[in-house]
Amino acid sequence: MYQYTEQDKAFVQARVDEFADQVARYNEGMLDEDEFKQLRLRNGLYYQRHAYMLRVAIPYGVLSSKQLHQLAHIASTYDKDYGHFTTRQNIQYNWPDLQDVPKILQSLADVEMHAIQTSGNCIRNTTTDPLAGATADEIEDPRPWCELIRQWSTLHPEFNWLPRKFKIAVTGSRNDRAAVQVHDIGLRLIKNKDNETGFEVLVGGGLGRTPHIGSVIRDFLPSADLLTYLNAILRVYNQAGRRDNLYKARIKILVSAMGIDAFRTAVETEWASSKNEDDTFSEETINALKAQFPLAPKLNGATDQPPAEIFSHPLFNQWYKSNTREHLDTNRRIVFISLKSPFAPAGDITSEQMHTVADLAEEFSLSEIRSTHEQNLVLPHVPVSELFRLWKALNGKRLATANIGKLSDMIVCPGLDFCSLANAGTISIYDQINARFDNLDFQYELGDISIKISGCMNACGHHHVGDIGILGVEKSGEEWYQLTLGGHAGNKAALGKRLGKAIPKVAVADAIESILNTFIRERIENETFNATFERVGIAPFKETVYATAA
Amino acid sequence: MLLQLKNTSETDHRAVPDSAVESGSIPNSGHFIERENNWTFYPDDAALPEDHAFTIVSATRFLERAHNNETLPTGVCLRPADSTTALSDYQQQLKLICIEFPVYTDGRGYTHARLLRKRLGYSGELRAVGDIRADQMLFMLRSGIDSFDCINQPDIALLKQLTARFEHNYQPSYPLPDRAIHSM
Repeated sequence: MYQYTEQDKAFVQARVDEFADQVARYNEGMLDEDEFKQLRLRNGLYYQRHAYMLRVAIPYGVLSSKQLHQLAHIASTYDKDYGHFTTRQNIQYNWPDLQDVPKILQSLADVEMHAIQTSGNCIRNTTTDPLAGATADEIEDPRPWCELIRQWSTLHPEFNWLPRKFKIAVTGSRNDRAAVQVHDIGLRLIKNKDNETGFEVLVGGGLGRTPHIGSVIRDFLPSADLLTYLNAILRVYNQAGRRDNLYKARIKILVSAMGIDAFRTAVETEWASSKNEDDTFSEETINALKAQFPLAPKLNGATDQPPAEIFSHPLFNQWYKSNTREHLDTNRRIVFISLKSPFAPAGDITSEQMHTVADLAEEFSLSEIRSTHEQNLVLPHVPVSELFRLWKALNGKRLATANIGKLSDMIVCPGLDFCSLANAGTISIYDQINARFDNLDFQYELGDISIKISGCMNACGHHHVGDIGILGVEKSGEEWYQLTLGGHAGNKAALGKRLGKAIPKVAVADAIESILNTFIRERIENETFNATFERVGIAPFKETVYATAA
Repeated sequence: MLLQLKNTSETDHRAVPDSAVESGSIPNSGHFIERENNWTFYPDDAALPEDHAFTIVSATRFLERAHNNETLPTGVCLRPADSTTALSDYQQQLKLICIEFPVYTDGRGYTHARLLRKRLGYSGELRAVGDIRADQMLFMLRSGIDSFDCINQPDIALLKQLTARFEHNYQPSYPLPDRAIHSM
């Protein structure tokens, strides 16, 4: 993975010193509340319902064992002994004291991490496929390109005060696991007919209160032009994006108002003038970055047989089937660590568990860990022969919940318990669903299905792209929930359709049960929920859910 | 009072060769200074003085006068929604371009500055005007701005400290002007 250069180290250190100075000036009354807010947001520091919340960047979801140990240390020293992994592959601490934040940033800098641009109206942490560099379906490893984008977007002088936040996602695989169609800019690494690598560029996707699927702005962008083209898009957005209304300020609104063709013309015109002057990079630069992401060494000897222990240990077998995936080296497996146990809120992990994962990554996965936008962790390079030992170790720390991709692997925003924007307590809905469907065998029967829960219109829980989306709304001071069905974030992204009027909090699990029963009734053979929904439409689901409710 | 990079004062604003602009650096050589503002902004409904030497008008008024073949002031002020390219035929005659920041969170002016320097090749004084905060000035300098007329002018020692903080940056085509601030 990427190792900081001396310049990176000096830069991040300077940023730590800068923030310490800003806190000092704020304490002395030299920075007003609003200005300090703008500055702290650009270092990931929010003020939430109860306290400050610090969001730490995990660039493109890649962590080392050393870094994860440090994140655990921060949680135990400065917070309440846990952290929360977000849907943007970052980690949040919910209870830091303002005066400790400079020390936390210093601890991060010590292990080549930071919290730069994890909030505020600027270019946010770039996200990618959590399986990058480990799957056979990859055209090229996206991580060097993500690192290039990270560097380009870090404190970019022209784009630090945009109309609104700006999110870029990259996929290097034919199977999109980075949800590139629902980002401000989505980049797909592709090859053209001459076998040259480039990007298909999408723009104007996003969730939030006005969900949009991104439009293709360019079929093929030569990879050497990546940054100048991004620069051109950002420049058009910075100049033309709306600033009069917070809710209409994202690039998706601009693209949709102008129409993709007019927006494309504006970008191409700008690019024609600037492509040779701004933010160009050399081939040596990208090659040097590529050299920092070598493939996992090929293992000799063993075959591509599953581990023998699956025949003697049913629970291990279940976990193997549910939580591991093919690696491009058939002697290794990609292992998912579910952070969706029934014992803790989705995405939460204790310091002790972080230390465990860090140790296990060191022992079994070349010291590498990934965070996923589904709020789980991945050990990307585990030898097949070590899977059983790994499972036993994970199981001992409640880290072997065998539910990846299944009903209880829900995406859940922090909700009313932590977030000042939320209308609804998403964590209690998560608990309600977990309690109702606690039988894993039933979940395996259902196959892959996604429930995504957001506590408000801002859609941090990605409810628009869940097979079942749950959105918290407020009605005369009470929590109600709006359900959507048929959303999807993969290759053919789709936004869920509204099932009908919102339902009260106590009825959510009942409604989910009706939906699942309808699915089982309508399903042909082993169809996924998505396939059945596409075939039968929303009507049968509507009928059963509202018949039960009435 | 203005804060300004020395050597870009109105008397010798063309002292720096254009090649410096083309290579990406911003015209300057030396120190930050505080100086009196000799310029006056005339709102669109105010009569203009006979002598246009230190007169600033809005971009709208400037372009209107140009269209009507009237004498042109040597200073112009761009609002966030104005176009920089509309000034391309006149940039040689301009001695001062102001970029207004009505609120510090509106970042359009950074792109204005960049385009004026890079696209139009403007090498005169480029002044940020309005609601500007000390922690933003480094980015303004790197975008091409070289003087500041702020509602709340920061003291020069703080500005020096803030703009000297980062030795390295990730956008080499947006350099800090010749490390000028270090020697303030």
